[in-house]
Amino acid sequence: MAFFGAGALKGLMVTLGYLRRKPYTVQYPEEKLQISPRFRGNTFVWYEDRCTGCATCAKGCPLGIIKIVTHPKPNPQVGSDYQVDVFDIDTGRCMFCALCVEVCPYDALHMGADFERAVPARQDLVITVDQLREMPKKPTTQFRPQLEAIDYKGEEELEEHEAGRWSL
Amino acid sequence: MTEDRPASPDDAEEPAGAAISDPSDGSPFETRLRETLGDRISEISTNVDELQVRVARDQLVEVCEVLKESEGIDFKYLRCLSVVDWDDDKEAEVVYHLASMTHSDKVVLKVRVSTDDPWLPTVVPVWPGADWHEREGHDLFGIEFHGHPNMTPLILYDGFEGFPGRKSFPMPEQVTFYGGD
Amino acid sequence: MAATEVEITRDGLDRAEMNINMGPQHPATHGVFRMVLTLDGELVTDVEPHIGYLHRGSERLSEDENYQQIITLFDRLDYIANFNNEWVYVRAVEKIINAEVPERAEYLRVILSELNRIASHFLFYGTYGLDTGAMNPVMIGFRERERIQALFEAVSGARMMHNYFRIGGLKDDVPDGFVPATRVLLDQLKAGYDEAKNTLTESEVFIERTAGVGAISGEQALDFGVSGPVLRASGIDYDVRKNFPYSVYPELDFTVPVGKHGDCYDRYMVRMLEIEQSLSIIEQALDKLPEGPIQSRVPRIIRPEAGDVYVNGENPRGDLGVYIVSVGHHATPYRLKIRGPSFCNLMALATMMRGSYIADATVILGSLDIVLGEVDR
Repeated sequence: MAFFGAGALKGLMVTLGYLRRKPYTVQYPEEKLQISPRFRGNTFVWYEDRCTGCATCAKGCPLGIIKIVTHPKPNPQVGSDYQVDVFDIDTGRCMFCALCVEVCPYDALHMGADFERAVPARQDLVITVDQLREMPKKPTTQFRPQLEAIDYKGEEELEEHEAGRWSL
Repeated sequence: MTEDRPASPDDAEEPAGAAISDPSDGSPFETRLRETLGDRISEISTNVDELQVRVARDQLVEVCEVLKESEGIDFKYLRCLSVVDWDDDKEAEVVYHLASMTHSDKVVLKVRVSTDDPWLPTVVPVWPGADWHEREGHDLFGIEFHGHPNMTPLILYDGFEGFPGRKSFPMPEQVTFYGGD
Repeated sequence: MAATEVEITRDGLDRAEMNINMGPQHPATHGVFRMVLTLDGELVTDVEPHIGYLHRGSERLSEDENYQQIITLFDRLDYIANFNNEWVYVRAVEKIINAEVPERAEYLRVILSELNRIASHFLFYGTYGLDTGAMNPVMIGFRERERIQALFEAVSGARMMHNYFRIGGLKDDVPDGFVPATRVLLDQLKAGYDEAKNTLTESEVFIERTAGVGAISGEQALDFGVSGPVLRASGIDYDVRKNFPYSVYPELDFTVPVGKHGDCYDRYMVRMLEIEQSLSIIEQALDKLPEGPIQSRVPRIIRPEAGDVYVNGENPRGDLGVYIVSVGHHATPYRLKIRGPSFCNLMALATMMRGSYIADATVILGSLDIVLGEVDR
């Protein structure tokens, strides 16, 4: 080394170089980073007509935070013979591993990409069946290669027949 | 261990003595190991790609010292020390995974103890790295490691009752939903 | 004027040992870790680490979950190097059920794990800068890690808790454009690495702070079961990827950086040089990345034969081992023991710290690069 302090000076030059650079960070609420299509948010997308109420998702959940109650439909038309009465997902304890999505044999449950879901109380973190029905049908392509095959980027809402490996 | 012990699931997999009567698959390492340990091995078997050696409790420290210091064996590195409880907590097995850096060999030592009298000599003087593993084994499984220099709770807090690693320790029921269900 | 002699008595100024409690809530302990330092003046005479604040019982929890669900627990062990953790676990299960892994999956695992190693080492670089009193490195370290995590998000859908490796392969193939994106990322990382190097490696302030501090000899380190960069900094050439080769590492050309003095600076340098090696490994793996399936056929519910298997792999922090005991035809392991590298590295902390100044305590602790999620499990 040339002289004592040359190394520290070299480090300072790196810092100086940043004077002519744009910041790498973004100011969050105003600007948002683009999220990838596979991004798992903390919402779920549920296609009721695809769902048979088989509760495979509840069994696949490592934490057991999905609760499903069904009853037989009196006159089944489309989808399954069972009507889903309760479909509670406790996202307060959810770790978003998406195993429920992975095991779903009918591609009825998908992860959603929304991540802005702050609530004032823990109880409100439980997603009920009514909330599930109303959530925007914008599934992520996580564990859903068929959505990647149609080059879906999570921008528009998908209908039931588009979301699964087989159409209704 | 040679005395009668209750049937445990791994008995089915490796019939006792079968490996000893069949020295044909002896790799150079296995031969070396047999020569070094001599009659201190009560059973030796192959599991996937590792040699498993069963030793008796009273010979454990001796075996460990021999394995660490012998020329050509050189198990200087204690990879892992695990406790497994068997047969509804009647027996516990302490498993030592050893590796040698110079020879890229590995070996597994297994010692069985009864849970009525769950003690083992400590191997901390041989490998100081056994320290926390043994304390953890004491915390979670209640194995006493005689001669351990500092047997205080490591993972659990002082005054914790029971041994949460054992199968008999009740797991708490799933916490209910935050929704209050 | 005659000087009056004043006799200064030293009574009451006896050197007494003092205990200082550091942590569990302390920014320099990198998590909930507490150590009780015994001080003689400014010298540390003894250290007693206290762990367990983050004990979640992962080992016991996994006895109640089936083999696929346990992957999620391994994400949460060493939460800086998630892919590496998952990999060791799925390799253990693959070994016990004797599953094949397609070559493409192996290469992708190498690429992702080495990227994760780089991310982990960049995080170390940043936080270690903070520990030694430099503010700038944390910006560089986190920026580069952020780039890697953006790629991970595109691949696995999550920045940290990936849940992407599966027994016998990977969950999905990587998205289109993964290879070019990774090549672009590599170029960015190289630029970032050069910046990082220029900032800290030659800085006299940093060298004075770390060189000769917290030294441990190779033999001592080995006795304590220390592994990973900490062991290699002490001059022992032990890397699971070389000593017990697994996956496609034998086909890749890389060297294992080894230090000489076993002090904090060597530990830092070993990690920095490992970033270089990992960059080279990823480049080679991208060149060799074959086409083909990414998942072999394994049963949906895995019920291995009775037996036990111990598998270890080289994590950014060292030698992570998983010991699985199966009693046969059960969907859950009978016993699962995790040998965390940080757990074993921490045992050597007292030896490293004895006789050093209290100001060096955080420097020494930081150089171990512990992750408490894996220490406490």
